[in-house]
Amino acid sequence: MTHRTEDELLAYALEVVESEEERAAIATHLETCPECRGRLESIRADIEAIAGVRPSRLAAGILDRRPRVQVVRAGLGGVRGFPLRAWLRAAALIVIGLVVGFGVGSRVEREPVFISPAYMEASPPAVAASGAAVSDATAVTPGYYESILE
Amino acid sequence: MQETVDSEWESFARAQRGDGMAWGVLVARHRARLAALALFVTGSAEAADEVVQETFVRALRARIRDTSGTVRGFLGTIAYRLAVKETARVRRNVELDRAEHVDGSRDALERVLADERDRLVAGAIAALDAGHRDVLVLRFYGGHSYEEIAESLGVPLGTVKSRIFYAVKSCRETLRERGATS
Repeated sequence: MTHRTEDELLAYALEVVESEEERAAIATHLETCPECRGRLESIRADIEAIAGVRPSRLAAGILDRRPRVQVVRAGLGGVRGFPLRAWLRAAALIVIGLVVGFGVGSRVEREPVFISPAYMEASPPAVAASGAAVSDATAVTPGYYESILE
Repeated sequence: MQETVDSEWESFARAQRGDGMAWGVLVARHRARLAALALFVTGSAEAADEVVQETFVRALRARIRDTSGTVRGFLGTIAYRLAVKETARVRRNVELDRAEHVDGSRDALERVLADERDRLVAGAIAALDAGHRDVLVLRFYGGHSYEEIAESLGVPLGTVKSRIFYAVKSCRETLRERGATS
């Protein structure tokens, strides 16, 4: 019986065998060859070690440093955790502002306002913030991770 | 499999809402792996520590709409990008200061890795060139598929597969020379 080479078994373990036919041929061989199965197990153990470095001394205190964050729920435009009392206070302030503003505004004489055409050209209206592209690691839209990292 | 992914994202959402237990689970599950990723990319224990902390902060603040991927991949992407950014920033500063650049990665690995075998493996990974190291780190520590690595690094899928093969082969040879293979 011709055994599989170390490179063939490594490629098989890493799932980077070039063709499906070749992968199937190696799998069939492994079923009947305990020696190659043993070598494959050894390769897998090495891969596990290479993938398993754990610097336990790093960032060990992070559990005690839970970040305080406000989470914005996508699509709803609201802020979670904003207390009811704060909403009521904000609403009351808006109502008071409207009432006072209307009362004062109706008593003040208005003068004509001149807007320089040059000023208008130099100051285009602000572009509305477009909806931030959001996604996760598998459905990445351009700029998503850049927006997280900003 | 999809159920596991869903429950991971549910737990992640609870952590985002301030659930301390969910936060604990999230950190316990991903901290050490992300620390290794950041350590390999930056070569600095201090920078790696900062990257891990920042990764969790950014992740908790992020808007999540599509949860078809894994939390592991999501966090890995943020950590990798932060680590690359930090490495570039440090290199710029070193160039600006005209200071002698000292590769402190070996020392960093010695200081933060308690296990001797971990040190040998980390030394073997640190000895890879950046192209091979990044593919290995994204695959094993970032939780990325080969396709995601290709997209993330902007290289063909075949190149990614070739690099992971030679990266692991090189690490195994280094470990064998030092008597640390299985």
